[in-house]
Amino acid sequence: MRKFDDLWHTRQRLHLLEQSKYLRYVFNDHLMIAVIFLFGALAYWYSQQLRLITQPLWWAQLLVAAVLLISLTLGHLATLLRPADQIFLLPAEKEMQRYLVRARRYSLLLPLFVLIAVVGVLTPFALRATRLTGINWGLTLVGLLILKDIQLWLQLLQLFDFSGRQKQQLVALFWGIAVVGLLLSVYGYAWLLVLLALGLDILLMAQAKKLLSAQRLVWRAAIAKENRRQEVINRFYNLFVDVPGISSSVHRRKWLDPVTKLLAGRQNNAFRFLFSRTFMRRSEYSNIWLRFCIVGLVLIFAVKQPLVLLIIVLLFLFLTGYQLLPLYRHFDHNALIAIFPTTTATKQAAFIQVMTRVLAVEWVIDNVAVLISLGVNLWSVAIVLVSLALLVLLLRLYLPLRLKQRQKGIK
Amino acid sequence: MLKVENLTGGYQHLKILQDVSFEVHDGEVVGLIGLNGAGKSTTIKHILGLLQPMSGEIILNDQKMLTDLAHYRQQIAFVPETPILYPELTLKEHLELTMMAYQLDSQVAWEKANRLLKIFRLEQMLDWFPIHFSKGMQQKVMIVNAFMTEADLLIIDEPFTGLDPLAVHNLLDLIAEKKAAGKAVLMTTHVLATAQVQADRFILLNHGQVRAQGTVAELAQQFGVAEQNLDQIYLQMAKENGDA
Repeated sequence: MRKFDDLWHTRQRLHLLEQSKYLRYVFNDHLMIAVIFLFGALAYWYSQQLRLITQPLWWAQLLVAAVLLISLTLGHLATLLRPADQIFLLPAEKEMQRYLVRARRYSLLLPLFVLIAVVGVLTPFALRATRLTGINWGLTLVGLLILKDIQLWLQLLQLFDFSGRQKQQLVALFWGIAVVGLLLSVYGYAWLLVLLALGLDILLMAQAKKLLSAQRLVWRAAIAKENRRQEVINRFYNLFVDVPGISSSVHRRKWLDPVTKLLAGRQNNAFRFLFSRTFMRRSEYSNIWLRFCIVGLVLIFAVKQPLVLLIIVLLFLFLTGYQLLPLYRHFDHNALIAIFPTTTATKQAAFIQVMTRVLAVEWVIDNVAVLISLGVNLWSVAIVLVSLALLVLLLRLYLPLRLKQRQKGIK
Repeated sequence: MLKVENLTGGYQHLKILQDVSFEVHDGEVVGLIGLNGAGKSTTIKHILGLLQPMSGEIILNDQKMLTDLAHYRQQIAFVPETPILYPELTLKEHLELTMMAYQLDSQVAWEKANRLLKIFRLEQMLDWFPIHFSKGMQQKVMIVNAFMTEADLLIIDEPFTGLDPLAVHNLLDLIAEKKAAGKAVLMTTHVLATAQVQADRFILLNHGQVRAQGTVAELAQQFGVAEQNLDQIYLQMAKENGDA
């Protein structure tokens, strides 16, 4: 970094490097397998539903407009500002304008891609269920992209010291134009949306420099905003790999205390006490379980193919157990626990006891859903029995084996 | 030099400062003192332009902040209470960034920086990451960054906490140097005994208002305490507040 102008490029490069580092873990994760299953199921359902549409539906336009409107909320201005900037870069606030304009341009890329993808997915439905012409639909996409450009300009302006009322007015104006424009375009007047949006966009671009020069950058708020944005992303990554600086949160969850007690059992076993409370209160563990339960439930009701269902139930049970394994080593760095007068065998037993209860609940939830979805027949009973067998194998054979390996790994 | 006039301000809806007025002249070192939560850091944030005054004005070298923001900011250098650093920049890169931001001539700035680095025994650490330094060493990095600029006004928030006795001594010398060069220094501190060495005047904040200001002798007289025992002022003030 030689010149001030290189600041943005240097940061952008570092940022992309970091993202690629974490994304590698995301795409390697078991959850991705589950998500791919989910997407497959959804795509299949979508194509089936499309076949049923033979004539335009009165609500199709409204649905399309709503989806497009929601998709506009995706993607925010990424400024990559750091906490130290409010000290080191304070005297260079003028130069920061160019930096921020670059940041805005960069922030535009991903949302535009997402919007194009959303419109792509909607296209078969929109053209089948409404009387829209292809040209009108194409113009809608163009209008939508311009709207996103306007939105990011406004988000940039919001970092500056305009009064709260001015900011609210700008936001209201934007959403007003977005709602009216998108409604117009789904009823065949997409050229009006393009005209409206383009007019506002050109106006903003022409005025931006003047507007920004007249105002102070509100550093504190801008940095706080960027921090929140990055925290959301990092929290997501933290589901897959430890992100430094993000400690998964601990929630008291007093209302779940009776359940925690059931999980911990009545005997005074220190490790069962610890494992059960950690599982219930640490979002990183309870979320794994919850995630698989919810995605599992959705899939069970979405997929009617019994064989696929069986695979899903087995896979999800196994993956839950597999992903909860780190709980076993959660306390490895705690010196106080290392000197507990307990043996490894009791620790392993305690872990398996807790896991048995946790996974059994998931098994019950999944299979009740299967019985409701498929009804009681040969297939559903087979799923219940096979998944029970897997559960027993998992708890009796697989887990003890893995824990022994892990124990060896330490020494 | 710096003129704060009837400043009322704080964070969005939280009013912290109430009608604060004071001045810092060229070649003067002024200590901003007060208990925790008295409004010292908030005052500094207003002077830096990180917070917007609700009313009142801040004038630096006869210039208001918004007329030429860049120029206003160039005239101030700041050492924050807690060091804030870039995790991915080396010490050298931190200095380079400051030079870029203040548009300093790099040759002149490096001469100054090298001297400061030597004083604080950091000259061997240029390629290290300051984020891994101890609190005191990080503080020194922030001091070097601020003191190598040509800023007319130096603002130092709690300069002495975390510094070793030698560094405290060096910092006081550097402050004296700036003072001799006609620069103004505004520092907040709790360590009155140390600040007394260089500070010409003190401004005592209490609950967001200026409770008293003046030289050590004047303050001591106002509160009826001995000059060598200035810390007694805090006790006196706490009694007034009904805390003790």
